[in-house]
Amino acid sequence: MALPVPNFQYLTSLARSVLASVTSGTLLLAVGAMIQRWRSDRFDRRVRTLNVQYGLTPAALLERKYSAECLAKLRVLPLCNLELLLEPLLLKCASSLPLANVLREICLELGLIDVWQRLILGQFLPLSFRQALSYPDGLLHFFSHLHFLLRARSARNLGLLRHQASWPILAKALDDPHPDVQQVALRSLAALRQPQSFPALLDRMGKAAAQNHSRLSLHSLKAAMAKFPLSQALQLLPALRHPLPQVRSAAAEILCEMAKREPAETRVLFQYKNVFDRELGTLVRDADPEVRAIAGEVIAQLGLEVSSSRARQGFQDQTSYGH
Amino acid sequence: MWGPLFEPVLVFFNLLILSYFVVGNGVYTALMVLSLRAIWLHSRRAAYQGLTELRGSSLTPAVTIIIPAWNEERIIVETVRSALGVDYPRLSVIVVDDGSTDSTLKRLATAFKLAPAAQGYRPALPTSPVRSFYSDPRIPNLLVVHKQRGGKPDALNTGINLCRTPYFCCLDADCILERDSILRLMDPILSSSRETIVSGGIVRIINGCTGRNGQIVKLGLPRTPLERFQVVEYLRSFLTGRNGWSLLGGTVIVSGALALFQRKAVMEVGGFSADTVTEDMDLIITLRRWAADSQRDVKLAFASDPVCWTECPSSRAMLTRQRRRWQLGLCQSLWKHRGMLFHRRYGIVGLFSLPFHLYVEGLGTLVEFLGYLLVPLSFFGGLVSPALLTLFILLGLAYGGFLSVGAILLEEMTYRRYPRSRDLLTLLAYGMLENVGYRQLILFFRVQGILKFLVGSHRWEKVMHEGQSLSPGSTDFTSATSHLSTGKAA
Repeated sequence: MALPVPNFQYLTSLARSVLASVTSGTLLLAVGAMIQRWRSDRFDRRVRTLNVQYGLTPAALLERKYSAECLAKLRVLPLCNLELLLEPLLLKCASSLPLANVLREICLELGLIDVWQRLILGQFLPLSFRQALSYPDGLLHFFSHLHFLLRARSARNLGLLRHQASWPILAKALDDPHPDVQQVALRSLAALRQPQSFPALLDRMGKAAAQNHSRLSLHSLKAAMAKFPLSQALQLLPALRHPLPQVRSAAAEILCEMAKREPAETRVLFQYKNVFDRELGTLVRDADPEVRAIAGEVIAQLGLEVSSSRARQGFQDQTSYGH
Repeated sequence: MWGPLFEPVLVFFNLLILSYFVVGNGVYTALMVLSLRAIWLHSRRAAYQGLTELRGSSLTPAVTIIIPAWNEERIIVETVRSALGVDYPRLSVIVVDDGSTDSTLKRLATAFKLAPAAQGYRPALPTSPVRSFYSDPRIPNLLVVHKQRGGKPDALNTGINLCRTPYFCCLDADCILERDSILRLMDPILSSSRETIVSGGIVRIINGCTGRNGQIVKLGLPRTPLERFQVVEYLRSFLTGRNGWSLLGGTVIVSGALALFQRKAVMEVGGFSADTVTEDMDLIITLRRWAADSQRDVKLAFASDPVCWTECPSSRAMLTRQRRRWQLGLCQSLWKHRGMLFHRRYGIVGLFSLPFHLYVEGLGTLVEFLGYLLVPLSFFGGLVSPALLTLFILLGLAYGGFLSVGAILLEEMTYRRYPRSRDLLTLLAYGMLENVGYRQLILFFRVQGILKFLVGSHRWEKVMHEGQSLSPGSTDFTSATSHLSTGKAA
């Protein structure tokens, strides 16, 4: 069978058009890269100018050196510029509670907390195209499939500012259709440490362990719940009896981390000594080696007097010993 | 002009070149488009990434960094210093000196004031004998192992045997880790509800940068064209190629220079194998195979922000060695796992990723190389018109430029590591020119790699870095004042 002889004329015209497209595409990409550099530089300059203009530095905020006049000026700033101005300060709130407290007051004054709460609930603000262009993520408002970025960032902001009253909205965000929003809401709830939100997380933990494709990972839930005060430990009791070993071990780990963080608070649990003694004593004999191993660690952390035979059983367990 | 036998051969070959060109560039363009969206989204998501929480949580799993070293006296101290300086809550570093004949061990001992230590060793993975251990109580998370020479996979397996953490990170001895790289590698593992057994990051070129105390403090481009072309090549390979394959679920290469592995999974597949000279690629394909065969729903993640900086070869001789080894390793890995090719059980890896690597990266090298010889022959034989030949050459050159410039745009839209506008313009210029000369040079080295594979060579060619980008550091770990100099010409 003879091989098809290429049609030179057709190939030449095809190659010519592809070459033209590729060359213009390359030039477009190169120009795009240069425009991107110019935009980023301009954006950096704008943030610096705004900072100088309004003097909102962490030091000034901590010393409450911002005036009513400054707040009035900020109030008339478009939302896009306000967020630009506050973003670096918000990021610093993660490691500074005093800064978070001051910034929370300012954000409340400026109505930003309300805006973020509404964004999480999917109520987006009308934004003109011009306004959107002046804001790095402004165009996101026009693409509904990218709204999750704005919802997640709003959830992050509420957590960073430790805005306690926002916990019901954040708890609701755990059911957001996008996993990113769920994840950020979870972290924000952990930052708030609101006792009322704990049962919602506990419920998610059971679901995460049962469903292979749960949106929230068991580790994320564990890490978030471990940040809650030890006073929530009683609520973990049903999880210690959960039929799934992953949930039992996760609950034990959470308990252990809570006790490690607040060793002085373990005495609070002494009034429920018998309950914990019974539950942890059962875990020491659990069928799952991982659960047994963690149970031993929890007993040590809580300083509970698990009956001697049970404790001995635990110490003879190789897995527990290794752990 | 050509005989009746030769003409169909030439026509067939021209069609083969055409298909190689269309398939290769088509897939790479698709990968670039996919990466563009994914990297843009990733950079936006960075605003709410929970690294602070990861850093602060005592539930964040411990990680061991394993550094295999053989005759790395010049840079090993800086590498270990950078590994120890990584910002991660529970971190250990194990340096495996694989029977170095230079003063690698001595330099480590001096720099970190190490003394012989007693340490139990249970070779769960078989390795060559371990001779001694060194540690210092003031740096409890550092352990140096001196063993008999057994090669890089053997050294890595020794590290895995000594590792007591659920995850380990392999780090080449000539690499500098960014401070938050391990946190960033761990993030996709912990935030995913699926079991993630590997998390890979990107490797960037250190030549031309300045560093201090095992960290990069000033970024810049290298001086020589050879190194600059490699900067563009790395950007394209990591930001476009690996990112795109990861999105498709077809990752078969995760750079061994920076990757986080689940210890349990690696132990189950028997650790790193010495069957190939690219043990990282081999391990990834083996893990893929193991997961499919045992019907485990596991994930291999890739993130474009955990960064490790490595020194690229600054001379042609060393570049030859490196690329020859990479091509040899690719051929060996594809041959070793040939049973996975076109096999439905292995999903996108078996049906698309491995065949693509075989056709475009493996056989394609020969096709392209022969193309440089046979297309002119076709032209002289009247099988290709002059206009078509010229257009085809121009198209080849332009398409390479298109992909490279696309990768630079990706970098600019997201990480923007090179702060000076002059650097951006230089990168763009090198991106456009990469296919003129540099690509052909690399192709020549790759053909040598294929020939080595065909003659059954299995020799590991060590790349000696000559650029002096990473100078030996100060001997005092805590108050080190050493710096990574600014490159050969600086």
